[in-house]
Amino acid sequence: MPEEWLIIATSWVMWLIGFITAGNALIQTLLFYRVARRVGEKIKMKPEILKEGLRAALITSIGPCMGIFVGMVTLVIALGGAVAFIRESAGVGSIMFELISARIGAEAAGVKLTREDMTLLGLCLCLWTMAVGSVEWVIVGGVLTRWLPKLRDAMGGGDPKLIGLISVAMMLGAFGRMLVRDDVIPTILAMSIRPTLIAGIIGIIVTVIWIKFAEKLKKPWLKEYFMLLALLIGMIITQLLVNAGVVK
Amino acid sequence: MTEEEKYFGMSPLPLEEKKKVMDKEYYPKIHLYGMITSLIHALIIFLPVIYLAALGYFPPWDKAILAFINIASVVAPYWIIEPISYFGILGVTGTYIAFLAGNISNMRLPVSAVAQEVAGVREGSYEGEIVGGLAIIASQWMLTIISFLAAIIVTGVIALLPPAAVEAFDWLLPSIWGAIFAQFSLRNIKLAMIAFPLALVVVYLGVKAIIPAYLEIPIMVFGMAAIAIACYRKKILK
Repeated sequence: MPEEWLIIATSWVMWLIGFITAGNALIQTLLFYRVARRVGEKIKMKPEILKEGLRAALITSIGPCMGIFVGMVTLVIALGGAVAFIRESAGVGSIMFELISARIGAEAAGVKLTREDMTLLGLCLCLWTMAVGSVEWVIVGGVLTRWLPKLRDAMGGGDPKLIGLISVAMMLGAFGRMLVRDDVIPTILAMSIRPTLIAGIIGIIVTVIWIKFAEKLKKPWLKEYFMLLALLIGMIITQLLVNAGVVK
Repeated sequence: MTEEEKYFGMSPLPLEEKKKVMDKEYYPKIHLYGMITSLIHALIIFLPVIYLAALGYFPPWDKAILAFINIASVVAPYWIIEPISYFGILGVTGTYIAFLAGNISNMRLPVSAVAQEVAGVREGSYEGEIVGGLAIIASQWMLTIISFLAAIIVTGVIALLPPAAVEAFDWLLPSIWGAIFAQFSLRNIKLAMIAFPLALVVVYLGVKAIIPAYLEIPIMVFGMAAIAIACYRKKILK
């Protein structure tokens, strides 16, 4: 007979809460979708451009979703499928945030974040910490977003070229940081080549070759596969090198 | 490649006319729907806690407060920093979804960037807002299906996979970081050559705790924006 906390954590009510959580996010996206499609056509964007954007997004999201799928295993094992579904379908945090907050909750209850060690108090505190640690993002996003376009307009001064340039610069800033933090710094600190550096370099090479190739052929739709290719090739080659003992 | 070839997805309407439609029919509706669904979500997030409390289980307040302080000490600065820093890239629609359903750098930003590239629209434009928004909407549909599947079958699937295949997922995000950085380097190689060394310095200072780690994002994002503006005004970039 499973323990009481596990019976509650995997009960039909918890699954229902999962569907309510995911459902609210779906309602939001459906409302947004209607507006975006209608206004997109009204400002005379070609329907096939909108369709192409959607297609590219679906194909590109396969890779990150595979990562989320595999990453969820720890959460499912620790707290059961229903809680993992509530938190990952639309719970703001990334897997990393969920694991950190679950661990903090478990620690406050004096237990470890494992199925054997978990208790009812531990479950209460895990769920509590996940909620109080992430609700602020939803409130800040929900309330603050309406004021943010003013900030961007102030920076770009209404010049579309400059606003485009600023967006590119911001993206390079955000992802330059990710690239350095996860891929480059571990190698610098360890003074030996780490697998993450290899993966990052492969990601760069595959992307440059593929995008240049698509542009040369004048087939922009080919670009929609670059991210999927980059991460698959990056994962496979890096893992082969790790297995062969070339990098550790 | 000419500007026209690169941005083939832009609408032929004059900017003023697009602005009129967006200001009247797009932003007000998105803000209204976004705010209502977000505030409802702020309540929904507590449903698991409320359910347990209804069964008679609520943690003692001292432990609950301790847990809150501990999680806040890790993430509190990001509650404000992330929405403000990422807005310029996510757009209005993308920001509402991203801060309701998460997974920003690993999914929302890449998906929006690729969709805009494929659709041939300029980042930060009205067309970019719409295509980026649709992309992030689509990524949420995908996430709903995948997270549901994972909740039911992931433990079984992982058991079937060889350990090396599972380990390979450790290299998924590092590959994505390289891919997206490369995509935008192709957009503007000069800015990329500034962003990379700047990131090296900023992250190094963060890792060595010389600056708080939560300052890395705003320094990088707004620092790069300021550099782009300065270079554009001085006609170093166009």
